[in-house]
Amino acid sequence: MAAISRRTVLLSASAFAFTPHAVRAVDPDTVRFGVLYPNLTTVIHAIAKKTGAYERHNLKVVETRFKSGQTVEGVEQLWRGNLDFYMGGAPEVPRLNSRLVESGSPPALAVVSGANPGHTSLVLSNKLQPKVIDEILKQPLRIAVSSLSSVHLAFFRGYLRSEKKLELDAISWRFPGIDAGNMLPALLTGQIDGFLHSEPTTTLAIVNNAGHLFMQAARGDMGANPPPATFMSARRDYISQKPDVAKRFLRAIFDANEAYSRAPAEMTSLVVEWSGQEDKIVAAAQERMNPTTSLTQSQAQKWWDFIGTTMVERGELSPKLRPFPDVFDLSLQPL
Amino acid sequence: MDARTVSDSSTPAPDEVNAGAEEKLSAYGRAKRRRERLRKLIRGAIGVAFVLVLWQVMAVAYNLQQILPPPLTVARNIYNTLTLNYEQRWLYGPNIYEHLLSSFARAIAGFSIAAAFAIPLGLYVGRFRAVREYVDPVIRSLYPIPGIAWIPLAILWFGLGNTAVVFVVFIAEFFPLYFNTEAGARNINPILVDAARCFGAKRLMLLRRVILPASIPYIITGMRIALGGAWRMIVAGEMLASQSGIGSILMESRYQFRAADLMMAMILISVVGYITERLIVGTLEKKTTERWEVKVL
Repeated sequence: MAAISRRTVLLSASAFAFTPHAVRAVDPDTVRFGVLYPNLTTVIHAIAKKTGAYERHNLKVVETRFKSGQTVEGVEQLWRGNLDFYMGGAPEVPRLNSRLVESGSPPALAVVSGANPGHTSLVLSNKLQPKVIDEILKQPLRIAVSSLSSVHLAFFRGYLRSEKKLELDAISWRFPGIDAGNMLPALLTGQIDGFLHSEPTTTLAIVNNAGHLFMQAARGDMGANPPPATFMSARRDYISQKPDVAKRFLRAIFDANEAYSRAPAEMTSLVVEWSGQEDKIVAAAQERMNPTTSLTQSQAQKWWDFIGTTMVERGELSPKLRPFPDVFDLSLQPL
Repeated sequence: MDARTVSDSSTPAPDEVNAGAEEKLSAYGRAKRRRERLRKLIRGAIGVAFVLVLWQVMAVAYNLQQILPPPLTVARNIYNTLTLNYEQRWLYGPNIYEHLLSSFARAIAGFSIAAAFAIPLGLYVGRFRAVREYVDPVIRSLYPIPGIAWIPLAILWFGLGNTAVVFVVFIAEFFPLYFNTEAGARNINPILVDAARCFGAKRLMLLRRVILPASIPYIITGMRIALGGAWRMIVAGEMLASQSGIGSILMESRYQFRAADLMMAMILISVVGYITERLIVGTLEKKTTERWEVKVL
């Protein structure tokens, strides 16, 4: 066995000391990720954590939780540079980019992926049992939405326009704004005739016999191939500074997608833990949701055609805003 | 003509001297008060102008238009909104006047109901120790619950609409009105009450001539606090349980990342709140204090 000389030892030590890159290469890269919690739509992050996807891609993900319904806060934090990625909501990122474009600044954020295609349901009170939607469009129904800026209302507007050739003003419904948590009691007490929302509100209404699912975008009731309802976004400066880390993060999310797709039923306990809902609610809701996160160019274009254009017409988005590249940057996904 | 007569005719009488001096003093007092008012106005204007300039410079220099729109932008936005000549598409349903009217009506309804309950109860509890011992623990245990915490219950009890918001405004306004009135009634100098009784004043007369005038400074202070609180509560209530009113504009403008609209709504709340306070409490204060010649704290 050859002896190690003093010179070799000294050279190795100095080489180790003067090449911090070599040391850093094994250190995981930190990604600051904001997610809605407790929430069903962001469960892919919990799956990535639980299945070790982040570690496999040498990432240390620092999670910041935002209460469900506080998507604006998450997007604000992403924009202010306190997060690198954010998952939740959908129209908020185009809205923020639109404000920046209007003021002559470049769009700061990019939608890098999406989840939950067609995550919009129209739940009606049990008193209303129409066969087709045309029977009720002229009735003065009170259909609750989380706010006038609700993505589900935007989706429904898109459906009316593309499938029924109608504008929202042409139907007789009113859309009172109610916090999602209050939709169920409002429906139970007859204060509203239905609501436009997503999971788990829909399943909770069905399980509690407060209403019935009349239309569900995911099953094609509001048009074929519905666009995603949840976006994953990133800061554009972060993407350009750390493209490799950003790509690895998306790769980890895609690994989690595969894990969910392989055995959705096995993931129920994880979804229960992440969403804070009961097992039976989650099991029922899983039939109506797909939390796997990916977004193709055609899906993004569909989102823009279906929802984005109605937002432009309503004045929420600037006509100057273009879907590509002002809103979407899908280059990070391993598609 | 004797010396005394000459002297009497050339020098003014002591009453005239006093009147002249009083007039001079009064003119001096008026001029002093005018100067003080002017000084106060100028200093206030300088303070406001300083803040506005600082705000404008910071917003422009640090390119903060998206999070801190410059005052000129906000002022233009307010003007355009009030003249219904919108620069950007109006995304908040009915026009601004309908929203303001909704908020105003809710605030006044909540305030009136709170005053109708809290002032008589405060006077009664303040004057009778036995009643106080029964009622006080109940009121004090409810007092720490923030008004906003009542919103979910209010929605369950009264549904989604005006009643729920009016209820939370009532709850929030009840306590300052009650506590101030109760303190006013409790702290009345017993000599005043005894003196009135000696002159034969009974229940209603005692209330009308002694207790109410002596408590009015406290009641007015309570009203002032309550009305300010009403606007704070109305915004919180409308943000959660209503689709009209200035609170709903605040919420929606945040969803739309329109900071100029958000600041416009904040400024309008401040202006309407100030006017409401001046009109209602100011008028009431003037009428009661002038009538009863009491000094408001």
